[in-house]
Amino acid sequence: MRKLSWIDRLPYVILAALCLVSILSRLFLISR
Amino acid sequence: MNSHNGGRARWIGGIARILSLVLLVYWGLFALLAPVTDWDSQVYNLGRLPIARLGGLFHNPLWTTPRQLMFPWTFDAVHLPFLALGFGYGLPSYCCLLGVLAVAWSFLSERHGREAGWIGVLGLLALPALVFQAVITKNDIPVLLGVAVWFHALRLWRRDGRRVHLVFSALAIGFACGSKTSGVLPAALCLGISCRVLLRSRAGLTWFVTATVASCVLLGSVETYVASYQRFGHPMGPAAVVQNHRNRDGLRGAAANAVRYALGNIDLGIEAWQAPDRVTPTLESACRGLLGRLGLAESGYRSDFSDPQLAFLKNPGDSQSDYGLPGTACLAVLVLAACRWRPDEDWWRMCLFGGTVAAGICYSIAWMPWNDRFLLVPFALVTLALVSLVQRHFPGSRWASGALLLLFGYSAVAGPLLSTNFRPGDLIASVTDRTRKEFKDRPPMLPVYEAARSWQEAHPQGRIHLLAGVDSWVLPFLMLPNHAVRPLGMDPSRADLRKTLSGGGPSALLVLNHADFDTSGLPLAVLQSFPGDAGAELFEVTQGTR
Repeated sequence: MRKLSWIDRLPYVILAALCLVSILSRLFLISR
Repeated sequence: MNSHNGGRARWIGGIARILSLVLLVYWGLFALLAPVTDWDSQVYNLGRLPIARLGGLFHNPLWTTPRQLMFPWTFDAVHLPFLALGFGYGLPSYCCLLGVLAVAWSFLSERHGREAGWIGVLGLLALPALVFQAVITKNDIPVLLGVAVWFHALRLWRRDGRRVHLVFSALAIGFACGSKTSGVLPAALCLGISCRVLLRSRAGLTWFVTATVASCVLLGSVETYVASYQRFGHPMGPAAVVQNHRNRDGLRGAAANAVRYALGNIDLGIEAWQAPDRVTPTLESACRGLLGRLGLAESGYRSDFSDPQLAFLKNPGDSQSDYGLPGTACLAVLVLAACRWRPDEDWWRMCLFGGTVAAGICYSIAWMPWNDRFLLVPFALVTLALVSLVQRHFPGSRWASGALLLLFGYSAVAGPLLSTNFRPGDLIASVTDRTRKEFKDRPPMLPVYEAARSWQEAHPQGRIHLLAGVDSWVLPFLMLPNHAVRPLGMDPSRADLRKTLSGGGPSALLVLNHADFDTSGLPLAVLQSFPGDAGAELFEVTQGTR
């Protein structure tokens, strides 16, 4: 099993961060 | 000979790398410093966030246009912390660009070497419509990120079989779906391809399907569809609006739209140097003639557009650009792919995916002059297909790589320099003259904003009631300090209006895009009128001040 390079991880990190911020922001807005 | 050519290709790859990194810094500064300039964001993409903060999503009476409620908001919501910060509005889109470039570099480097990876990165940076989307706040580039990460994850899963890749590929599908309505189509295509690939691995398929369902629930913006259904009786918005934005002419409309997108994306790279531009009117005229000869006249348009009004937007503003000279090359690659059956070659598969998405957009969405950004996925994929095609058939050729470097390098540098909103001067203005830069695409709104801000500064505890027509730029007003501006919804009754205005404390009424607003019977005195495009008036509420 090959270890992922940082460039291979970068798209995952970006997507995960955007998804997390989106979920938290939407929860905040819906709960207003 | 090979090593000599390889050396040349490395030298070319080095130039592509340096140019790409410089451009990434330039665009990164824009993403960090530029105010919100995009028309749609001012009206609804971001304009809806402060309204949702005031009244929530469901049963919120404060929306100023149906578009604040009817469109998916998974990506728009990401901007909420940046609205609170007051800067970095373009960073979410810029992160999407970085993710897409990382996927492109990783794939091309693995297949054809690092030089090809950097040429591919430069190729994507050479697409004006892509880089402009990457520094503004519109929700087209997250769809591209979704497709890119899905592809990346599936490729890595096939390489090492770890289930975490399937989870990320599912996450990417949900994110693309929830970011934009037109993202559902490529997401469905990704889902179908994944299921076909995973048929041989039952455990993998179970993981993937479970993760995709969870991802679509969490990220698919299900709540805006529900809220829209509650308000308009249709999950995608008022039925008339939905119908108006659909291609209502079936295959005839799709064929007409394909002709428009093809001819509209012929760009010789010299249009912006000319004054006046003589190429674009010739293309528009040729397009009208061709549509007539093919029996496709007047098909596929939104109801307020027609053949005589056909306009190819080559003025590279926020959302109105085409794909430049590389876009023209992409059209040639698509023609080549249509003429040659090469299902085992990467470039051909990318063309097939891109062509399918483009065909779906032609079929489903009515044509409007600013639609080119919907084709971000097809053009980005075909640009990478071009690099893959050249590297496969001319490996190590300095001439082939040099030609790509010239094509991409010119467009990548000329793109910002010839744009209306992304020149180095615009970057400086983002810091030194931020408010004027924000209203650059709609200057008549600037005095309206300044009047509202002056009133708010003179009455720090006062409230400005906002009555905004459907195309109003509401975001700047809603961002005034102390939550001073409160929207009144789409169509408040006279009785509600009178009741709201009769509340205590100093207050004003700002009316936007309501040229014929009737003040009779309301306790209002005109402070300032802004006729013309702004169609705005600022009133002082006379009762509240007594």
